[in-house]
Amino acid sequence: MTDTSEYKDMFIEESREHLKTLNQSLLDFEKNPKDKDTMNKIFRAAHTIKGMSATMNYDKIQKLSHKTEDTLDLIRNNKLEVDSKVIDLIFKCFDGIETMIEDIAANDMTEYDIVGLIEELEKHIGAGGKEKKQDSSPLPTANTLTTQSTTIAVDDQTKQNIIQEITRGRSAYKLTIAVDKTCIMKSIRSFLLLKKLGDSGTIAYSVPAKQSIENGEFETGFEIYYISDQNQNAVEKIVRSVSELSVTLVSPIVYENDVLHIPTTEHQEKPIEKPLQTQPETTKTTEQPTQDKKTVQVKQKTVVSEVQSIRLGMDQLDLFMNLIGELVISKGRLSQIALEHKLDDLSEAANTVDRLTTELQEKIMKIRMIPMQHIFDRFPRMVRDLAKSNNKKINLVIEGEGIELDRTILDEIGDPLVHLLRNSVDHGVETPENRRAKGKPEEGTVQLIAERTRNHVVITVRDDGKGIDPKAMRTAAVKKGLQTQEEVDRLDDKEAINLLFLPGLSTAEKVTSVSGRGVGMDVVKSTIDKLNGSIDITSEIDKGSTISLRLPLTMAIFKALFVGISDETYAIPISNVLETINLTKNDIKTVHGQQTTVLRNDVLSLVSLSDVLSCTNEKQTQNSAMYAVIVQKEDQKIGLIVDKLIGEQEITIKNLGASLKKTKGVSGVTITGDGRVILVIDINTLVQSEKLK
Amino acid sequence: MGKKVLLVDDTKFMRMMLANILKPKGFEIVGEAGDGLEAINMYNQLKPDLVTMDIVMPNMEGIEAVRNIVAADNGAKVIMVTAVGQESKVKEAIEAGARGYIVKPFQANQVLEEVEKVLGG
Repeated sequence: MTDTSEYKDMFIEESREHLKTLNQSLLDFEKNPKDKDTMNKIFRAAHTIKGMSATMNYDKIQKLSHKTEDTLDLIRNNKLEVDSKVIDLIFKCFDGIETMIEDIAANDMTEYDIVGLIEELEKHIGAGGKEKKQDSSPLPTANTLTTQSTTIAVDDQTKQNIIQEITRGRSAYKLTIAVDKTCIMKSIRSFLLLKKLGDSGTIAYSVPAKQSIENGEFETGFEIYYISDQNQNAVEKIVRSVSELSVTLVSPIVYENDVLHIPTTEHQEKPIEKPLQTQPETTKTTEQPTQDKKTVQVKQKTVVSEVQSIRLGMDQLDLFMNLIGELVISKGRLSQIALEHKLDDLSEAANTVDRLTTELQEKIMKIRMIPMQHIFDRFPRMVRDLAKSNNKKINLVIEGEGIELDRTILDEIGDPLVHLLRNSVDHGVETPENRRAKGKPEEGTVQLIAERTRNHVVITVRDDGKGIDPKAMRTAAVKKGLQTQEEVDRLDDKEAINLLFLPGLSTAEKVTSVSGRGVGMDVVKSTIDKLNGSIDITSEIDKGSTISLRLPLTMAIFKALFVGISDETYAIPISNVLETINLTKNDIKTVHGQQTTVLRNDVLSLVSLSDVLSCTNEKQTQNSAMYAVIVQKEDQKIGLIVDKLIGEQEITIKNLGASLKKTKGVSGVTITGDGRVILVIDINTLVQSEKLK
Repeated sequence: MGKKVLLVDDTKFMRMMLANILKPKGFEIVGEAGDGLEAINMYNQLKPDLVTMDIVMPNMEGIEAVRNIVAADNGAKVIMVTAVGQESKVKEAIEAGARGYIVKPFQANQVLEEVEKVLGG
């Protein structure tokens, strides 16, 4: 057995790609069943998976993909009527193949049962399929063949032909051939031999007939009467150029004394070849190492058909980011020394290092960016299946799949998007009858659009369904005890729709969904919050709903506002900051024990950052001038009181260790140029902990 | 100097597998093509001693590529890489001028035997 383990990763990677093609193309084909090219593409991909899995000895994948391929072949050749049942079955087969491949990827030894699928496929292709039975008759030994008569057992007509050719100066041979028992396509092997012989001579007669040989209709071998201008050596060479033949005997036929016969000299009777199987892998001996070396050295540049790529784990990229972070710190230290010692040359060099580090950082960031396609690709299939199970007609329109987003963010938003799309299909778009009654086209449209703004990516899920009813939201919130009637009455319609984000409101309804995962809108929201993003819903009854996710391009590096409390410096992500204002002691009023101030005729709650973070602050009491950084969390604005505003800076955030991970109000640390460690404020948890007070 | 081989297959996986069988035996992989059109171009450019040719490929299938390659160079030695169920395709390829074939899944020794045979014949 060839050791296949080293190919496993590549097998998985390529199979995944082909599965993607399969799913996408089958969706296309379903929409446009006349498209031959698409079906050919599907067929090719299935065929490739079959070939690869067979080579890897993944028997079940091979078997399932083989049967799938057979079915596809029938469709391709218009021999099988395509209805949605057949398409469903093929999708199921793709899923089965995918499951098995993912099991392999995860080293999961679970045995996946393909019997059901195979049986279903066979119903369509007819059991037995195309697989021919292997010939089980015993291989004739060279002995049995060599003892065959040396007279010429051909009919008179052929005899006359042969004699005629010989007298014309050509040569005649009797070829005795046996095909390897292990040969998989013995008809083709024989065909190849006959073709090669035919190229430099004529087959005068054969047992069985030529057609039968080419069809593989023989037990173990056959005999050929061959006429050629070639000498015996040349004919032997032709025969030898075909593999998988276990017996090849070339015997010259002579015409002497009016008789055709094969002279029985010892030499000619000997089988010229006996190629038992080449010993597998035993030829590992390093023959002629010098020559080997030479070939390596003289090796010509390989022309490869596509861009060379290497695979790199995210952890390695993170490592790079960390190293660059360290580099930035050292660079800062360098500039500082230059400044302290007034070394102009050094500061110039430091500037260059600065520029290079920035560039390096940008390049690495770029590597982390992955096109949206990565997660969008699986949605068409998902929406199709969901729509089908809900008896709805839905057209999914995807735009902007080429827009790139940081890998970390991309990984996080997959599930939220699944949830949003599912909502649109399950609850948004109405049934065809319903839509018709409303005067809408039967087919609903769900749009998934990614757009890039300067520093953000906005992903929008929009449907033209029934929309969200604010009244229903109010009722549900009260019914579930999440809000009082009084509270919901105060909400305007947009706020009422936002009730959807309350934990417990949207999850219960989802039980109806076939594939609900218990992820509610609240989870979607918290995921987006975690990513420093925001979410917005607009909806109009019977017109549809639009949900927009606004996400930062990257998580790894962002701008932060540095603020000072006493002698400590803290960083606040700039994405949370609305504005900053000057404050004096006199501006602060205490209402119901809550510090507030008036900003443009609005009351703004104030929180002292030092209080929230429970750090002592002697300075503040003496200092009359201070600042408030106004941040927004959800619909709430809060002013964080700080002593100083230091400035904006790009930072990379490092996570706190496990023991500090749950610290409220702090999301991590960053390191400044001079090597100081600065805490990064997490507005989400900070405000929460403030509310609890 | 090892014999020059051009690998034609639309999957990297198969090309790598074949390369790993052939390289240790002193063969030199001078090129890899992902479809029939590329194969023809590379063949003309690199003049390899041997070509392994997948049948089912995008853009141009293996048989068409063999036909083209052999039409331009009737000494071309092309081995088809095929799979069970493709008998008629292989026949067609042989008629087009392919000198041999291997069936997936293959063992290293099967590949080497076929290569040796075709290069020798």
